[in-house]
Amino acid sequence: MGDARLASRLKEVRTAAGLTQAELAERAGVSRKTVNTVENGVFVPSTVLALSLARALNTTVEDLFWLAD
Amino acid sequence: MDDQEVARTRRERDGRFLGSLVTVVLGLLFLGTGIVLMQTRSGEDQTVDAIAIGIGIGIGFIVKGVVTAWGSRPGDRRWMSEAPQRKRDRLQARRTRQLFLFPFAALLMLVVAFGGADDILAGEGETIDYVWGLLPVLYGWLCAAIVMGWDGQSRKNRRYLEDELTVAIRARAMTVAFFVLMTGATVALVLGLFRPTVGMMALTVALAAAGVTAGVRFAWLDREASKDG
Repeated sequence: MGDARLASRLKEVRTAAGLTQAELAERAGVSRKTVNTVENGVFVPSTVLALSLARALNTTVEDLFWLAD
Repeated sequence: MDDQEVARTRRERDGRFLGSLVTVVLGLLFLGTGIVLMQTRSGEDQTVDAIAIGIGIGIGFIVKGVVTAWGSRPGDRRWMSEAPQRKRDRLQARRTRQLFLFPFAALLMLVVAFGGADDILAGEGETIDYVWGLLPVLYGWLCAAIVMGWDGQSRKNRRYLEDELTVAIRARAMTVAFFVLMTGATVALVLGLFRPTVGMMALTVALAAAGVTAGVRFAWLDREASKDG
């Protein structure tokens, strides 16, 4: 489910926004487990989920995820 | 929760509460009949086994009924203020618990099924032997159905139980289950070429094992996903 090429800043942005995983999950309309696995790099989110997370955090997808070289 | 959902959930809880009372009554009947027969009959091992199984089923029904009745008791109003996020976590946790429990039930049924296998293979099986023979496969199907989201609970609560992570976990669980099914069916075929009766029993194991694998793998991955760090 994970992919080493995907780098993520989701946890930093979430904690900077003062949100718990559960609160972000509620805003994005997913389970806390989903947020947890995305943060841990276990699960690669789809475009729709990435956009939902970005919107929930008032940021852009590019700010949350990028390709690691 | 809007009014419509509150009314729907209330109806479901009332139905579940009544159903659980029926389950308790059935369990008491099984248990009572088993105890009475245990005291009045003696002799053949098969009879004693059947009575013991009846008592076991009775106790299982009573425990299941009491737990469900307590969870859906009429005076409890906490569910009305349950946030969607909490409901999602609760329902997903329940699914995971089921997928850890049903495989054990399937394995138990498999052990019982093998008890009557000799009679079936000899063409002397009774109806109960055939029923026991099919139960592990049915439990395998049940596990697979829950993993796939085809069971009633999953269909009713799709918005809480279906998300991207579930789809990804399901794909991984079913991949392993498919491998087990192919391997098991192949082994059953090879055995069946030499001894058809053994091949048939191996097919029962293969089908139950595939369903159980799907359930356990899904539950395991779901539990791993919950872990932090």
